[in-house]
Amino acid sequence: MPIDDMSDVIAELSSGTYTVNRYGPAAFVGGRAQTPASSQFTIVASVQPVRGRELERLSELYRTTELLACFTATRLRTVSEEGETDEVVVDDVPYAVQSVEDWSKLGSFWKAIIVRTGH
Amino acid sequence: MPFDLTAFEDVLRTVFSTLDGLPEEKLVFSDQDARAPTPPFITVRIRGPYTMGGPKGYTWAPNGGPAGQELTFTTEGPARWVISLEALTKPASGTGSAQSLLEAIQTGLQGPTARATLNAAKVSIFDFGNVLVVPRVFGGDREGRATLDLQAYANVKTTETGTYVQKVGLSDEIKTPDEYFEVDDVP
Repeated sequence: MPIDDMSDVIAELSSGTYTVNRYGPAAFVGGRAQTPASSQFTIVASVQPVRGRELERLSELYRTTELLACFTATRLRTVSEEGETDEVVVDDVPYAVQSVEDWSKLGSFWKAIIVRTGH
Repeated sequence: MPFDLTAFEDVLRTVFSTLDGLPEEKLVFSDQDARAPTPPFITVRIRGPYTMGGPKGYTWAPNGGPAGQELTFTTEGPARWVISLEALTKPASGTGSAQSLLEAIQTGLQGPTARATLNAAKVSIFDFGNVLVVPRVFGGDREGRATLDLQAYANVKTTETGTYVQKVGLSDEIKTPDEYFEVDDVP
């Protein structure tokens, strides 16, 4: 039970409903990673620009890449044993989840930094 | 057709895979958009070609193709390649360590079976490198890491289709000499 359930606040202040592409672990065949199995689900989230301080925490490579902060009551995940990085689709553009702050115990939400993928 | 880098990589990886003593899926190419296998595993990075004086010219041969593409031109020349192996293991020393995995590959490559396979693929390893042991502290443990750079010669070969000269045309001609004139003597 979280100390303060903020999920209803996120729903209240959400910027929309977003599709998430979730990938399973990539198997290696002949030394090459195969396209992992994927599934889709939607989340209600508040997607916002990241703050300057958050940008400065990132390596220089990412400072000129479009990043967004995504607050949601659904757990997003980066690459792990469970699978490859989640992808959040914002305005038809996929963003990869780069980091996740777990506030589920304190506030029943997750804050993810998402980075635009592709070129 | 450009040089088939994938086939070249596959030949090398197949040979390494027979020597490292790990399951097949534990020997992977580096720099892929996927989570690396759980240790122990080895990554392979192939750098090159470093060309050596350019191609030796080209040869051509009929290929039975349609008009305009009935010849195949082949350009081939030697090149040097650097093959970097990096091993990562839970034990940082002794049996099963990254050092022992790469040592097994390094010495195994000098045996007749590996050499025969590489010879058949026209790959010649001329520098078996040094196994560098670079363990690191990971969490509360030490993690085994080691690297090995091999150098090999292998030809870079490309092909391109072309054609014979099929038609020669004339766009102008010199008339018969009946239109020439002579300059008379100056009166």
